Amino acid sequence: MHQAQLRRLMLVLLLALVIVLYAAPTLWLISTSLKEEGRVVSRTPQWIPNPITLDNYRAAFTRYPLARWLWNSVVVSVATVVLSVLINVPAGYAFARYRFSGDWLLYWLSLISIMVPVQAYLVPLYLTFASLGLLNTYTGLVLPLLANGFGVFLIRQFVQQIPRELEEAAIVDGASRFTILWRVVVPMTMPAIVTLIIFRFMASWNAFAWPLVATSSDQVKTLPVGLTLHIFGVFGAASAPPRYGLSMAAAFASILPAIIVFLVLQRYFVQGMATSGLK
Amino acid sequence: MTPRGGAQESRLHSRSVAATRAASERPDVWTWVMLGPYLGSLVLFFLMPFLVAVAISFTQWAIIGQPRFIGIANYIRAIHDPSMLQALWNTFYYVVLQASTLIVLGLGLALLLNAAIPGRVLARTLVVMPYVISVAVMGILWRWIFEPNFGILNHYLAQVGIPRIWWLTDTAQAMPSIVIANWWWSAGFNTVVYLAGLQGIAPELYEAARTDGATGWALFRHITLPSLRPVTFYVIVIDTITSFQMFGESFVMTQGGPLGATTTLTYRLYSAAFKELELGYAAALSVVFLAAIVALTITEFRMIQSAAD
Repeated sequence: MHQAQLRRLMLVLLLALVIVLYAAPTLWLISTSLKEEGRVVSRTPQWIPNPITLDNYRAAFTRYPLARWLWNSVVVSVATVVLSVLINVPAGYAFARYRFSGDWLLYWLSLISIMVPVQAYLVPLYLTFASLGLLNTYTGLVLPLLANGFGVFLIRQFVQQIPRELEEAAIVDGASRFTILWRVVVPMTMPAIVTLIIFRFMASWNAFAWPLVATSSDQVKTLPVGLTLHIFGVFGAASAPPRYGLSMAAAFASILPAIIVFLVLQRYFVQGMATSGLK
Repeated sequence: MTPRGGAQESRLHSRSVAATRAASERPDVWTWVMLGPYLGSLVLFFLMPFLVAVAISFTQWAIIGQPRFIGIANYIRAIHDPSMLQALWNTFYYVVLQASTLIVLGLGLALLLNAAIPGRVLARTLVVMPYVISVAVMGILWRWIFEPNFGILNHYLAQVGIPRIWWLTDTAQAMPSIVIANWWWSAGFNTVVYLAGLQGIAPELYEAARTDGATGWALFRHITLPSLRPVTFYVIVIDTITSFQMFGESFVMTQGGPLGATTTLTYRLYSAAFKELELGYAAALSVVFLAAIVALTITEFRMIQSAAD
């Protein structure tokens, strides 16, 4: 066998290994979720459940307010995405096109807002929202997610690559800045806006630390918090060892929307990660 | 992402264009209409909380009752708090272990996925997909995989003769276990960024080196690696800063244990506030954490800029 062929064979085998290792955890999650309670724990791993049952899904949705948490996650994520686009697109454009005193300060403040996670200021945020009466409200869950420079940098960077001549021609014609933004810039910025939508959706769908402390009522808990506190159980608690069949069913139901969004928009997703990807 | 000034003025532009440019850069009422809501949210829900944190950090405050001014006592306490020092060490250990292994893994996967072999599109999808899964689900899934008696990982390791490992319950093993879970959960980001970097290398560079007789390792060492330098800097920045913030993994997988072995700075801060209800102390830790992450951010961005020049 030629050396080149041997090398190719090695690469194919290595790729097969990567496929198996990266698919296995998700497949194991799905497999466990479809097992009867008594068959979840077994001496040898059973990849294909026998019999296949939806009992765990039924239990997750009937014994816990899973549907409510799902709805809460949808409301919070949609609100975050819509408001982020409305706030960040004009701001990113203004940031790219105007020179004003203090723009360097805004630059660093925006950058730091991306780098500092909400878990670093849980205490003051909690106190602020408690005094405003916004704990246990959708508003309270959404607002901190808006104070983030990610989208502004994304749009700013994209706008800077658009030639100014188009806008300048429109200025000479007497168009207002708002008209220019809406008619000229937004259509050309669509790829960045799609990236913004995807990443803000993921950030809010998966948000953990802030919803954990900002909600105590099941009526407003989002999926990650509801699942962790009520279904998955706390690590090391002897009283409540995790029921893995139930946990995996609830877990799969909760990640399915994100996975579908990912598979449908994969191209934009990967582009976004490559050019500007931040969590 | 790196700071840049306005676009370089080209001398080819005529005077009138330059005048229009200057006029178009001058802020008007629209500037503030466009920036207003963003600035407002940033000031109200990001900057203000930190000012509040600074104020509270000088007090003793157990959620019920009134805050009492105690000067810098909370900061002095932080320096002498063994659990804080442990959290600091854990965070450092995690950042180094996580960032270094994820960078090597990301580069390796990108090189593999960049080769023209069947199945690479499927592989890329599978490597990136875990990235969209929430930390809650990732955590419970890997608790199940790491389960010492019935987990699949120990089962398959036993088949190749490796004795049982107490993944999350062994103080020395718990943090590396979280890193291993992240090899699955977070490798997609580095892989995608490195793939884009690899595809951005001009083929002429390789052709020129090949005509000079370079092959395999030499090509990688002298063309690929140097061309990926800016990408590597970017990946280092993102990986160190995101792993510096690690919270969810510890919360869901280990509750900071065993014996504090996975208590990171953010987890310590959370416990001080919401388990021990010491708001003043937690606020002081917030301020210290913020200072640390700002310092880290500025240092790393300076590093990138000087490397780019």
